[in-house]
Amino acid sequence: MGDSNRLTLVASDGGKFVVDKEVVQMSVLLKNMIEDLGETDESIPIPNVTSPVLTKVIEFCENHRTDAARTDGPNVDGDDARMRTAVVSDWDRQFFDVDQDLMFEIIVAANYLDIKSLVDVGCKVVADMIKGKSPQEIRDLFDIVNDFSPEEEAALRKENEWANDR
Amino acid sequence: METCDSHGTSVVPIHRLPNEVLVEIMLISRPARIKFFDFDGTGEPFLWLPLTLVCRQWAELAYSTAKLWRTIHIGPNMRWVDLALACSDGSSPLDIYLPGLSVDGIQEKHTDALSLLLSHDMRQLMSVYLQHPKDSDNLHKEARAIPMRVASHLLSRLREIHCDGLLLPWDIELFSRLRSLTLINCRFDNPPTLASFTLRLDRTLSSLSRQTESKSGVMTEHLPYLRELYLRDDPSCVAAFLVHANFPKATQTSLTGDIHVHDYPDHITVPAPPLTSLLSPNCEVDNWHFLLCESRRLTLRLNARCTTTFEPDFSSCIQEIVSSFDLTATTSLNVRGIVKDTTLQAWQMLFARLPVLKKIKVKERGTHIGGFFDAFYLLHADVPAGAQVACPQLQHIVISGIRWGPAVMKEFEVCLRLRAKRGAPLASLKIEFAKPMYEDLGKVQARYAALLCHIVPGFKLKLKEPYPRH
Repeated sequence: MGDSNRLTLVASDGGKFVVDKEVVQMSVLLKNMIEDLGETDESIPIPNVTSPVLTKVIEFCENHRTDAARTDGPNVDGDDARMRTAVVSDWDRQFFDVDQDLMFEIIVAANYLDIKSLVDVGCKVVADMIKGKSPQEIRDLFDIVNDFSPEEEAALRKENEWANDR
Repeated sequence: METCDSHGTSVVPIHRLPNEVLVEIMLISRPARIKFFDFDGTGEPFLWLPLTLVCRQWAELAYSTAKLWRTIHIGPNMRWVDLALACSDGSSPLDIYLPGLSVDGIQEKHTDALSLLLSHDMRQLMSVYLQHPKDSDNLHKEARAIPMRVASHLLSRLREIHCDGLLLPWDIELFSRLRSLTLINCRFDNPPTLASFTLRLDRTLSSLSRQTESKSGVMTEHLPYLRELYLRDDPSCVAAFLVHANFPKATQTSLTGDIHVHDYPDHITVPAPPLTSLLSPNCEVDNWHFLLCESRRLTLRLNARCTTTFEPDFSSCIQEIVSSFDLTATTSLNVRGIVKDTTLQAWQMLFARLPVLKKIKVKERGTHIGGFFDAFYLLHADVPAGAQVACPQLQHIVISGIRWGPAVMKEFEVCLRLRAKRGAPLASLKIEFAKPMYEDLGKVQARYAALLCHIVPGFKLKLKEPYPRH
């Protein structure tokens, strides 16, 4: 019989992670799964998340395990306010100081696992990267292809011209 | 939906984000909602628009997300009003911002836009920011009446209103749905007693912001549902407010201005257990500089400037502050600018109330200290045998801006050794040495750094240039 306070997560590539239940329960998806499963020694497969990404997700949850009370506070303006007020600490910034591939994988995994605080912090980090940049700078930053036809782009620019000569 | 993916040979990382996450990023990139005293209305509502020009997927997402268009800015260009009304889906809450336009700025189109908004289905209207027109003496009567007319039309439907320099209609029924009220230099046309005004609102108001230049008296004494309070008021009004304030559900308060807040923690914090943020950036607080505690439950910022001669005894003050808060869950403590002038007794009292503290960050400006580190390792100055280590869970220390003389170095070294000996070793230590006053001291510091490396495995050192080379 294993430790009832811990459980094993299995990443899509087979990597196994033994984690405290308290930590895992930051994920709404996993929390619900645990409640459905009850006391069990079975490991939980996470088919959409690879080991390197799951490692990072667990690292975040471990670090923020005591933050639960923060999300229980009053929420005057709903999700909008929650997103805006998400605090990005120095630790969080360092956590996301990874290559873009991994950064977006982490956000996608957090969204899949429904870990709100990680999604919030990830979105805020990306928003900070975008802030104040021109469309071309944003494309360069994220390697996005400009798929507007020249005519469409010209029309859109004309449409938004007013915002620049306020 | 056709996305940028189809044009690339492989999926670039950002395109793996689901649309709902991308929308969240756009929402964050959009300026925050008009709030309190911060919104200057200088075109900020448009700053996120470049996102609609990045690629087709982003454009389609932006134009189909009503939440992005919730702020209607009635400014020099009316295109925004059309666009925002077209892109909002008729159900999202709307915020209207009507800045105080100059005489030249107010034109017929503004009156038209307002008429359009007033005739629009306003069930979705959430908040309005109204600013009195600039140069109002030179405005024609119709333009001068715009804010007042808008206020009269809209007040009863609003949950939030932010008014700047307005003469407001006094009718309590107009404010019946209000949850958030910001008044900046406003007056009522038929002044009620302010107490009666807030008494009528006290069951609904959750946010109150107020700034005034006139001595109009204390606005309220008891707001049982108030969660946010921002005051930038006449000092005498704030002082009077603080004496009588009672808002047990407050989670955020901000008091700014030339306010003397010697007694304020007791009045504000004791009846407010859910308080998460207490800010008073320009307040004068007796005899101490700045204290910043961070915890998962509480952000406390009491920022004071000292206008009198320093007396190096802040124990009573810290006691007053600390005893007002439950710090039992505080894991991080930031200390800035007060080390020199805070007594050992005060530090011991503070550390004794931080049982789960994990990290302490000390940031000074070339300060000489003595005795500070004594408080780091024991709760009692006389060090009885077997005394408990202060903050036994303390793992990380970051120190910068302290002048490290030989005595302080010795004190700190002893502190670390004793902590380790009593089973509470540090996991990491980061020291940024201030520029040494003389070269020999620099050499002593370098030797000391080598010594600390042996005591704390995670020790990191940053030397401020110019630093003597060896």
